[in-house]
Amino acid sequence: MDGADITNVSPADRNMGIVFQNYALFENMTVLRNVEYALHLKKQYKSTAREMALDMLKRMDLSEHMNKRPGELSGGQQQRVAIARTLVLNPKVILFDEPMSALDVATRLSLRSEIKDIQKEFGTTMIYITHDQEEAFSMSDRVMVMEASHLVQLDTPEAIIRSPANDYVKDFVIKNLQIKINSLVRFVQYQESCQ
Amino acid sequence: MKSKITEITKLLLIAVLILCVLVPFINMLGGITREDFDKIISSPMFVTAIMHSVRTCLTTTAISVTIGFLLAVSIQRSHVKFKGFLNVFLTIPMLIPSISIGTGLIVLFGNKGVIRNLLHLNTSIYGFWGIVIGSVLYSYPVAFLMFSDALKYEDASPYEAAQVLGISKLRRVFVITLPYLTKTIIAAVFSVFTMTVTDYGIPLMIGGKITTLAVMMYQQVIGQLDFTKGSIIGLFLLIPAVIAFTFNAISKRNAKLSFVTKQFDIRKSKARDTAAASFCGLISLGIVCLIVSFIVYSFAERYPRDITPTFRHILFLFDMGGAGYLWNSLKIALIVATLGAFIVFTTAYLTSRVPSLSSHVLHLISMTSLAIPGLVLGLAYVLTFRKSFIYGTLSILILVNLMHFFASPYLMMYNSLGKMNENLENVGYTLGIPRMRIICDVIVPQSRITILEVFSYFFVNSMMTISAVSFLFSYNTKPISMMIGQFEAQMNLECAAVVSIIILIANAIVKYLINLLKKQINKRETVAASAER
Repeated sequence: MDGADITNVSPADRNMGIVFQNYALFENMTVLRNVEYALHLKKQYKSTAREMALDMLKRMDLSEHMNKRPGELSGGQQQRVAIARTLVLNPKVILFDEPMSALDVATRLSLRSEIKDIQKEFGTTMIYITHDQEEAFSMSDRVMVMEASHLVQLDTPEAIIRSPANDYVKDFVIKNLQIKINSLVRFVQYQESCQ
Repeated sequence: MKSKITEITKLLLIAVLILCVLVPFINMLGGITREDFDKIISSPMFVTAIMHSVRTCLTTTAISVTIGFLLAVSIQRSHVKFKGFLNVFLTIPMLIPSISIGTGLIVLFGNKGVIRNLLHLNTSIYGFWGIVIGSVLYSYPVAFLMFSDALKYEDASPYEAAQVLGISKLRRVFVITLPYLTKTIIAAVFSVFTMTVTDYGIPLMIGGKITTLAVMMYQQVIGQLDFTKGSIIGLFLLIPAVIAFTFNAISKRNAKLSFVTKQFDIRKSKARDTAAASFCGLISLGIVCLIVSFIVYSFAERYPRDITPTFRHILFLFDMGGAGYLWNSLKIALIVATLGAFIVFTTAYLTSRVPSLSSHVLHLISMTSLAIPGLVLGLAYVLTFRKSFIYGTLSILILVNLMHFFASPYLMMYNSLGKMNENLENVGYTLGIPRMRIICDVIVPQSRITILEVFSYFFVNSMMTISAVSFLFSYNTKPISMMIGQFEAQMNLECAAVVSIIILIANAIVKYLINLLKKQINKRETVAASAER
């Protein structure tokens, strides 16, 4: 990271945040507590923890929910709390570990754009792991295709579609995407013919 | 993500459990010689005892499981009133020692019994049917709770599908209900059979001439001090428990139920509700009779000849050192519950949330106490610790109860912790929060209710047990439950009734307080929820 090898650095010192599957929020704490908890345990932030947390909640549009518990929030709000909890420590990179794999399609669609908005506002580098090609290609500035834990291609979505690195990328990634696009096209055509 | 401390703690717990459960048990087995074994199993007395045990326990199991099932159906699938109350009231027999239920039956149906007198009955309660009735009262709550749990989480959608397909109601029972309940039925049969076959309290009290295996073992050890014979009989008592244990280990628990189940929409039916209410009423009446008879015997001068109210029996109990024995029991129960909750939490945390090879080993060893009946464990402790410094102290009673009752609360905790989001510790790891902080600030607060249930399980069972402790107490450390048998032997049923009531009250108070705490926790959470909305 920033030119340094962090393979052997302990996760706590990597300055990298992770948003986990189903978010793993602390259900017994309020939203505010969730966000400020880690700060309280760090010497340099101890005195300013509350302020930093409040400020983060404000920027994430969560201020009105700060005294609720995670169980009372919608899926989108929970996701924002999970991201806020990570962002407040000001990491260089945030890793999203298939955060939405347990959610339904409609929620995924709206959460997708929300993550994109947050990324634009904070400008933090985000790595997003997903099995959903559509998710990957619609959200990313750059897509990394992996096959059996090996890097196959790393490029912009357009470049990957224009020139796939090998058959795997062609068959697995682009074909699947094509199927989705085809069905969308058929849907649009059908709508037009109805009008 | 592996830390040395968790691994060392696991190995330590494995060592403790091996030392306190397996080593004494193997030590007991080692004392058995082929000669003794052959001699005992060929003796006619032994063969008769086995026959008695099998007959009484099979009959009990059939009746108990049926009653448990019908009660659960009555409450879960009807609009019967006072469901919350019934759920608590119907499990009262779980709060008193089995021997108290035996006492209760004598008080009700014995030669001078309350009901026998009222109805001028001439039959005797002593014998086969006495054991069966007593054992049913003792064991049906377990079946009831198992079926209640299963029915509560049953999915209604297959029934709706069946209705749409025009499948008759009777057929629905055979094609949907029974297959769904198969596991529960088998588990209930094993549990009830095991707990009744290893119980000596009821057959000792009202068995009359019928001696069961458990009674025989008790008499060999207590009366004749013949530990070898006791061990061999104990070996046979082990069989059903081992089968039950194996079944439990093989059948996977539905710990991670993530799919949505559809709630049952119970239609209005007066006939069904009346039937359900009558059945619940009938069983409740039995419990009421039991409690009333204890009260009558405790406070009447000498029932049925003289029923002037008196505190004589209570005072006599205290003259006999009852207060000291009660104090012993309370001390044991409180220490077992506190230590037990702590150890069970630690063990379950390590096995459910810190996976490694040693977790599997620890998990398996934690459940072995399910396979060792209290009487057998007690005898194994006598044989192993007879010459050690803890023999004759409170510590050995605490230790034996901890080990004897370990498995069930452990499984409760294990299931509860396994259901929590698996990444909580990883979140802490990436945010720089130490594991201990996550445990104290996140995991423990989220499992408060299960911890309370574990505490209450240990307390209630330590208060009422007469099995594992029966060979291990000394004059100074005698628990109050052991006084019941002693009073009964002296034909002093009045004092036996007083002791039963005292144990019932102590357990009821603790259960009540725990429930209050649980409600408080639930309320605080819902109040916080509704205040924000």
